[in-house]
Amino acid sequence: MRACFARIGVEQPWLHQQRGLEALHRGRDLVLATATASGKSLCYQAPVLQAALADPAARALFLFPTKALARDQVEALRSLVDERTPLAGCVGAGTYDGDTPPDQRRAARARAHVIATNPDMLHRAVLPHHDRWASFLAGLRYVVIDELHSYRGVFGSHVANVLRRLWRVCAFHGSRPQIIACSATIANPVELAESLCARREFELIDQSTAPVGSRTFVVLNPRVVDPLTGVRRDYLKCTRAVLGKLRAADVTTLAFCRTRKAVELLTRYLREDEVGVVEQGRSPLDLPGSPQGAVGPWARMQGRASGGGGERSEFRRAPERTGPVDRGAVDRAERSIRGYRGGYLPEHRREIEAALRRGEAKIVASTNALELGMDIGGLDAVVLAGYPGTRAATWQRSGRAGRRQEPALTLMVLSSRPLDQFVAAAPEFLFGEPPEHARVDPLNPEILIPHLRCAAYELPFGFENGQGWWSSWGGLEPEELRDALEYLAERAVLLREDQRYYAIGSAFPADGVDLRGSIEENFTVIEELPGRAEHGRVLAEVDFEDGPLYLHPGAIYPLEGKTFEVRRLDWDQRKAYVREAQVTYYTEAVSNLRVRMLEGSGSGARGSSETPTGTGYAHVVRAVPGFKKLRFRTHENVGFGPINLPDLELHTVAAYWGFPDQLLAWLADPYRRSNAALAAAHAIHHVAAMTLMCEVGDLCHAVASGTPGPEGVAAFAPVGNNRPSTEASMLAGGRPTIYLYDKTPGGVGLATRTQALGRSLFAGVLAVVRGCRCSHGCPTCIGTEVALTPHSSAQILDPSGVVAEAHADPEFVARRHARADLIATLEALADGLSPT
Amino acid sequence: MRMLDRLAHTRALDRLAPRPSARVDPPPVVSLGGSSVAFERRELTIALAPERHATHPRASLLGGCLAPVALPSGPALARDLVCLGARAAGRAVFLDTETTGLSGAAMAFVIGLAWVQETELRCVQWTLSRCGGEAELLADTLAQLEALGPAPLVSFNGASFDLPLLRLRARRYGLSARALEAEHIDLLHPARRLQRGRSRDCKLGTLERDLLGLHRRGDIDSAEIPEVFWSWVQSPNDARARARLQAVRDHNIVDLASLPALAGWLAEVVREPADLDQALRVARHLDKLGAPDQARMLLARWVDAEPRGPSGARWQAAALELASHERRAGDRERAAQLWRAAWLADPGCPDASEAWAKHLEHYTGDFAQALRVARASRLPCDQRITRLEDRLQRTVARASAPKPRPGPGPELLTRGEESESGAGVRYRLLR
Repeated sequence: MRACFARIGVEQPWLHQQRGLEALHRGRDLVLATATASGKSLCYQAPVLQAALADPAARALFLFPTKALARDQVEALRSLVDERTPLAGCVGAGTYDGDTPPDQRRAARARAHVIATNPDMLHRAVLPHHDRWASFLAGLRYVVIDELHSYRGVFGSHVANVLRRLWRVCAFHGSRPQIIACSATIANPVELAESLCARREFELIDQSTAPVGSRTFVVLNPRVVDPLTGVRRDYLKCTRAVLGKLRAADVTTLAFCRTRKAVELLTRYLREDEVGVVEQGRSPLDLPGSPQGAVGPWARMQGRASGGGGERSEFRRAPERTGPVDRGAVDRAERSIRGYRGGYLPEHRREIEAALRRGEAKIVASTNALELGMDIGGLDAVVLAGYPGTRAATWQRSGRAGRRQEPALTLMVLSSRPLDQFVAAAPEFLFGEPPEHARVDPLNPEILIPHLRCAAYELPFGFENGQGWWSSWGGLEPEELRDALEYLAERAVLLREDQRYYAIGSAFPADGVDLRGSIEENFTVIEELPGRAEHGRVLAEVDFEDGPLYLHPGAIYPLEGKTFEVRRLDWDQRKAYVREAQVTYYTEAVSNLRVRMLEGSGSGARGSSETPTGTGYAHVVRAVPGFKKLRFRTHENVGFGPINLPDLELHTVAAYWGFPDQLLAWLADPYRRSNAALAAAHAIHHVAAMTLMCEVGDLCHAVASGTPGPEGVAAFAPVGNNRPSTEASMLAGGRPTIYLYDKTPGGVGLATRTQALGRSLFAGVLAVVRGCRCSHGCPTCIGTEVALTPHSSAQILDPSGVVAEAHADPEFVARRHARADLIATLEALADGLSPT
Repeated sequence: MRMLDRLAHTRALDRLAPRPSARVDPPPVVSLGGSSVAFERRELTIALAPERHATHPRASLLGGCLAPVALPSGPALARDLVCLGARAAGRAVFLDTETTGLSGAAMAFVIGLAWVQETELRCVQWTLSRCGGEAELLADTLAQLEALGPAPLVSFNGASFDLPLLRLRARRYGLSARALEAEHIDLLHPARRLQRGRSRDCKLGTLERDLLGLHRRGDIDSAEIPEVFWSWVQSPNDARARARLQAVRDHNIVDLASLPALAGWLAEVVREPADLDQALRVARHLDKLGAPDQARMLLARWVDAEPRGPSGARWQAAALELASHERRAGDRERAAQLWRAAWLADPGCPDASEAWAKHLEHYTGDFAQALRVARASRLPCDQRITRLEDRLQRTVARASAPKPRPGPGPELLTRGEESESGAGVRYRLLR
């Protein structure tokens, strides 16, 4: 085994790896919370190999959140023990997931020592058929859980319950595996591991002793272009310039963008720059006959510009002038500059990762899809186009840079969003605060109860004095478990015989529980080229929710630098037919959100200071009425089109709080009212997520106008990451009501519990807002929807290029009072609630 | 307690508006604390010969459907099973189960065993009374099987469904399933071989109707069987549930009883096929069982029995099959005869023309004829045609020396003679 590791360059483990291995040897469970590329895989590969060599019946289970990661790690393990090593043929590893063909599944089940899978497959395919896995489960020695930090929120609660079912089944077959958990840097790794795995004592390794080269972190705020209005340069253009400089210095770079559109735009612009770049002043295809000795539109334009006598700034291009393009340069550009995002097909993504490993791809623009730990070799630099939103994501992405002990560079270009400008004003926010907490609540009854049913289907529950697995569930007292089972028995889902509970019914319980809460199928993008070989080729996949936004008829769908126009969208079949088109504009869909209470229990306001509040079923609709056409590079608006597609509906449970009349009277100005409502909604959302131990993404907040009643109310709700339109703000300013709803269809009880907290919730919110050290309001307390300029009175430039109307005074005044208004609103809401 | 509080929240939500998915009236609280019986075992005897006596079990099961069916006797059954592939000729035990689903994680709640004892078919049936009694039920069944010492075990589709299920459940309870490792005959496979295309499908019910003339009346649909068990186990005192369970048990008994009849019918066809198509299928069946000589003899009988001037694609298929058997057995001339005859029957048939052309080219050397044959096929093989043209050219170019080739018998070659006109090849018949 040592020879095998020496082959890949590991002679001795680092100190932190050694401590981990020793802890495992003593029989304890392990949590590794070191940074990326600190050798976490050694800490689980070595013990697993050792166990397999010592005992041929020993087995190990690797859990990964995605299939791609699982495949990658299995390949890594196989290459560790392939034919050229001393351990050839001794240890077998296989993936077992939805993509595995049936004969490979049988082989893996029967013979593989190591099986890599994901929680969904474990839930649906392994646990219900645990009888067939008897030999594997009986010999299970290690369970490796990778990317532990991704199991949080509602998804984490589901996975926690799946793991508890796994421990039951393991105990039935007679094994108690050791857990090795690998996590990114979060504030509470041990706590997360304990609540996920229902085990008490974890050994934590969070300091990496592996030497790293020096790391430089640069925060770049684009300069102000127009001092009068305070507009800053577009962050994408700035990123392009930065990447151009890095490319000229031949630095392998990974550019992380926040949105897919940014990835596509950046790829396209960089390739154009690359094609136009003339190598060492001379193009290889320099023909003696060509007029100015320059090939390619960019070089020709440079020549024209300098010959034409006009002063041109370095990065502004004249409008389209087509001409013959140097095909060789285009190919080189396409190979060295790639785009990457989750919607690409798996083969395509494998190919890009391989190109990165080989060093063929020099610059890759990507979404957060490349954030997870796939092996892409080393990079010299990472550029973040825009602040990723959380510190944890920033450190995760920045950790991709740096080959072994060589200096690494991370460069963050800030956009004009309020959160980014806040970071620009106070960069110590990035470095000073600890990373975020990961929260998970496995005992949420909405999630626990269906999993108990699945568990009863696998093995019955019994409360006689039998083995432990009959009557135990991690973290739950036996009496509480019995109550939960009684609840299920009352609903005729379980059958109670004496002290035992059996699952009855022919429906397969695991089919009714989806770990990720998504039910709809993705859209596939299909190329339409009748008469050619590529006709009917699948290009990419798009999530169901994003389908109407990116694949409406008439949309321009960019894919790795090429633009395709969507000709036809087959909604029922989930197919979009596209054709490649040379266009000068791209499209962006406009969406708005409506929240309607269907029915609920709540109190209408009776007194002038009472807060109307309640919970109930809500119908959330996201409609996409039309789209804008925006020209490339200048981003100016050149057209508009309608969209007729079904709305995205969500039936869920919502809690609402209305403004008491007294507060409405006090806050007369509509801007201040809407700002205060938005800020209060944001604060309630975040504090609720903290209190209920779920993720911020599991809840959603909205502000609508009007009081909800038994017949429901519909209004436009400004919500989301973008700044609300002026119209929506005005509407919200009428009689604002704050809604908080679960993002999961049907609700998981989060909103209900929030509303039930009553005054204690608002006490918590006020504590957070008062404790914030800002003067006028910062993203932490006010949120990102409220317009925020801490130091200047400048307007914010919308990324699409549309400049907001210049409301000079009332908005500015409203912003200045934002924090005070927020505190007043919260106090009024809290006072208006009945004391519980 | 915390869980109760949280559950109360969930229940509070239920009081608002019931969710459409949870629209189930909860049945009365179930607790089978009184019943300590794990399973019910009943035994039944059915006479082998059909009788029309009203009180006989045959008359009562499923509207008397079994009444006209004759079941084979012990020795006859043993012979039949040997025709269907059994190696041992001991006492056969028939097995059938009713389960709570088709997946691997289902549970068998009715298990039936049957065997022939002198002039009767003795059936034993176990029915599960409560979910917790499965271990005892399986233990009793396996003990009975061990006591019987089945050789072989016979079922319908048991190889892929019933037996693996029983093995899995036995392993879960730690019971030894040695009895299930005995030799097993699955009647589905011979039934498929002999009946595919002739019946609408190969389900047991269809085969019963078409082949045995057994029409069930008042039978329960197999898709409803799991539901019967669930509703019964929840309310065992309900008369309707009990009646439906009885229907399931009768269904199981009729399944069991039809197995020996089906075995008898299949074996009869194997011994005496009624027409050429059946003969061809039986030949394939015998081949599968590892008795190629018998297959060959059967086919030879049928192929030669056809009058001169054979017609029909079936005869051709049978002839080709026989030819391949003969070739494997070493009788190449007979094979060649058959290939020629098959090709003459339908010159365009690709298989016949290929086989005949192959023989002509490699064993006889008659390239011109081979070329003619190959060209006549509906799906000509270009490689073969170009190769034959090359060879023909070369032999025409050379004066008279024939090409030496390896063949089974040198006396089959025609030396010094070119068959340009395709007059055929003379050969001696070896019988």
